Amino acid sequence: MSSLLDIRDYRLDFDTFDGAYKVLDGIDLSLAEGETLGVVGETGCGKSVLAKSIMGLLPSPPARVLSGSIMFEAHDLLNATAADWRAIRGQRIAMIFQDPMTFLNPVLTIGQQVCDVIAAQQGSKPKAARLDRAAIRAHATRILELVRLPDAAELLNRYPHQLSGGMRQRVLIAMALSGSPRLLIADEPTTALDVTIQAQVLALIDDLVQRLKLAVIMISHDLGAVAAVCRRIAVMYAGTVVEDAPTAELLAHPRHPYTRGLLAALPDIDGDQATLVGIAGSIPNLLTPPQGCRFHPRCPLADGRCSNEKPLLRRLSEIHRVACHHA
Amino acid sequence: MVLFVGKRLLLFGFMLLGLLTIMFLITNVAPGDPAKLMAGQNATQDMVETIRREYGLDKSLPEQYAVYIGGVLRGDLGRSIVSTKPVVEELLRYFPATFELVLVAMGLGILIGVPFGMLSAVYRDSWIDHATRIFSVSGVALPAFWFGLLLQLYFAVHLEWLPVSGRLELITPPPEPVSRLYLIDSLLRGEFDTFREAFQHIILPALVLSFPCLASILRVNRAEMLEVLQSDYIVAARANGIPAFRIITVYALKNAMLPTLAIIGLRFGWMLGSTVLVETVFDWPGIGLYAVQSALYSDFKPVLGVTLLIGFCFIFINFLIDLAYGWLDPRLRTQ
Amino acid sequence: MASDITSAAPTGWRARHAGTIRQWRLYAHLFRRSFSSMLGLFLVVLFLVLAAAGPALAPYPEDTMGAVHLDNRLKPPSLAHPFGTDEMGNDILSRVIVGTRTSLWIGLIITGVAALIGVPLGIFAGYMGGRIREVIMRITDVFLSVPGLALALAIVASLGPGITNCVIALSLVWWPGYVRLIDSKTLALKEELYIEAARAIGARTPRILFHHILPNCVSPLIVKASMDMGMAILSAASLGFIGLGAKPPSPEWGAMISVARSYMPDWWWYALFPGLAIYLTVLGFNLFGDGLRDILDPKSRGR
Repeated sequence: MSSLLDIRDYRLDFDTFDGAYKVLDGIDLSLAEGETLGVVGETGCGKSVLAKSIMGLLPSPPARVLSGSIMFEAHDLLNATAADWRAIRGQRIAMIFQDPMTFLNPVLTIGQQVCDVIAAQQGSKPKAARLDRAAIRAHATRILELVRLPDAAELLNRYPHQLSGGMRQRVLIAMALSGSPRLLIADEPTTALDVTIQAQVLALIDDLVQRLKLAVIMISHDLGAVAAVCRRIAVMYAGTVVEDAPTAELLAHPRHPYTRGLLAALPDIDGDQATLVGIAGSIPNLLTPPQGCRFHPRCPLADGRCSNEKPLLRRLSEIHRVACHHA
Repeated sequence: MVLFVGKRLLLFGFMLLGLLTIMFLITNVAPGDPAKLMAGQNATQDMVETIRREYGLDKSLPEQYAVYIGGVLRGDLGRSIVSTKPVVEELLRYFPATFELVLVAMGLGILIGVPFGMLSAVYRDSWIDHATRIFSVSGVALPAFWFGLLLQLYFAVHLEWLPVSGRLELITPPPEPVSRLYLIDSLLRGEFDTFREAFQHIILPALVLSFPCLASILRVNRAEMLEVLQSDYIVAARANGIPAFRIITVYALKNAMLPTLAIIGLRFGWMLGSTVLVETVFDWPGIGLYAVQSALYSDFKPVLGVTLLIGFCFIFINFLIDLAYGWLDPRLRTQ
Repeated sequence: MASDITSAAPTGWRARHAGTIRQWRLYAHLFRRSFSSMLGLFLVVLFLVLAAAGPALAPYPEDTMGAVHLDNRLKPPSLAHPFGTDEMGNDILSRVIVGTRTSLWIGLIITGVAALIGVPLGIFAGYMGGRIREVIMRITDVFLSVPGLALALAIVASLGPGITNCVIALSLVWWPGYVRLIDSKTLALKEELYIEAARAIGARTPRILFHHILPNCVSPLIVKASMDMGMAILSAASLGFIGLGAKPPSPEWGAMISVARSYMPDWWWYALFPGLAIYLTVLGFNLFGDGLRDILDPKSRGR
């Protein structure tokens, strides 16, 4: 499999008054064409920052890249120019967001916003292939239908506040897919929605991924949501990837103590397990992250080596990688 | 929508009544004898009593209030003591000059304030931002009367580029009245020399008057743009590949214009208030100068008339802006 | 390194107040980093010193009390008289310095009275809500519907000119702004969880007002008061310029410019320096307030 996205040793700091927050510490991840990857971790572990890095949406300052590279197709995303981004955003990589309430512009109609996105894509096409206004509107209607929104044509004249949360998230997904991207980044796409709507939106994403052969990076703190869509899962902790394996393998044989903690913290529907187990302690302050393994202060297996030497993300098998001295 | 406009209309009426009440209270509840004040310092007791009767000042407060409201509704704001003419007549004569001045000044304020506010926000912390920030804070701090004197000194006396004061040269006849705004009337009548002259006369006073307004429009627009530019929907628009120019001019500006519009309404009122100073400095024959000269003669019916007119304009403008808000913000319109 | 996270309870004043100390250091850092804030601070301090030590610093203190030196009339700026002299032969520098005290007093009184009227009304309106709030806010709106200067002019016209009446008039038009500010702040605070929690455990209304709501209104209040000091000084000087405020022999900046106007353009220094003093004072308070707002209340910029 050729790799679509390749992140190597990516380190990023946030400069603040208190000093530099070491937000991402040597991320290594790659994604093949059509692959679905879930990125899971607690709030503040750097998963959203990683997603925004791929889209080039981090303001700098405060963000400062220390090392590494992010390659997408033939583009070096860390050194992309404004013109490069115009060709990439929306057409090669697209993104959907956490809170559909705030990610649509309140004073523009759905039609204006969807059509604008499609119109923006015409710029990088050859003159003959560009769509005119009527064609853009027709395309807008088509993609709203693609995400199974009823009365798509009528919907174009509505304002965001007239739509429910689930409908807005569908509109955002439609906008993201309008340029037929190769990679879709979904940043907590269901967190702000009701549980029933969550299931619908996840089913929709899963369906679209299969039909359009999209590569997906889905970011969530909800292991269950990610497992419903993604074939592979990477677990992040405090700015590092600690484990990376196919979903079934990871759920059946978690090797990193943090992953095991996460799994133990999942409520068991069957009721076999009477008590929920949490992970002791809390996420470390990234201003002064722990030496060695960033998880060691909370780790039941930690020993002297863990507090001195940072464990590398090493291959246990062809498909399973883990960053732990004891795995 | 009908409900929205109806509600605003009701509020508009209420504000007007409140304004009249304040004006009434100022004249009648203020310590000191209004009859004595009107009669002047050298008046005899008899003269004071005559004035008291003539103006109905011997009646009870509620009666006087009813008489006052009735009078205003019939368009009677009393007479000026100095000119002995009805105040309403004089207000109608002086108002167009003020209106013209305020319109030009507001135009300057918006045309300069909004774009520079945007630039300043987009290029945050650059030299443009620092320059506009110092400019905007000092714009509010500049005493209009002093700034006006300095501009006169430099551009009119020293460089002799522009006239010192007035609306036109004394020997130039004003254009046949249509709108009574010289800039418009002279164009309508094809008197281009008069137009140029009127234009030269209005530059300095309009500039002085617009300065604080320009500064605060700039400031609010910058602050709102900064906030909007950080909002989620702008991030989403960028992620979806919308060009930066379009994001700034459509996606961000339309949202940032809502609070900017509110400050424009507020500033409009302040501007009307400041005409009192600017018209004094530039001998601009509008209601501000009229109020000041009347106040200096303790002729307070005209002063109250001017204050009432300014208050009325202010409430009216804000009524219009409320409506514009409803038009710009779909959340209000479609409720 | 594990000890960092599981260390014992912090001891000593510094350790216990580490959060507060960091907060203040952050404020100081942000304030110092901004050139305009520091300029504001410098100007405010400068004029406060001039106001406090006025007569002692003035080179010709007797010139501020109506002395006449006819041989010395309208002299341009020189070493003896850096700002020149006026039509009575008085030293303009001395009069500007002594005028500082008048202006700052005026600003302080107007702002103080306005806050004393406005803050209680605002808290009351915001906390009580319902009818009471409706009534208070409507009255406030009506007052705000006339531009301050125009309303003050009408009040002075009916009270008669003079510096006291001018201060009364400006105080009367200044309070509604405080009602609005405090009312909106109180409304927002009332919804905060900790206030609801305090109510739920049975805290009395005065306790909630004084312990929870008032302290949280302090920073926007300081910011507004600082800005208003400048604007009140400017408004009082404006009335002085029109001829309705302080009367000419008294060294008030606006009144000085009012007289100086008839000596324009030939004796330009007469109007220049008092105006510069007004401008720098107002600029100082505005920049200072703006700087404070940036660090204390970054959400409410612009108004």
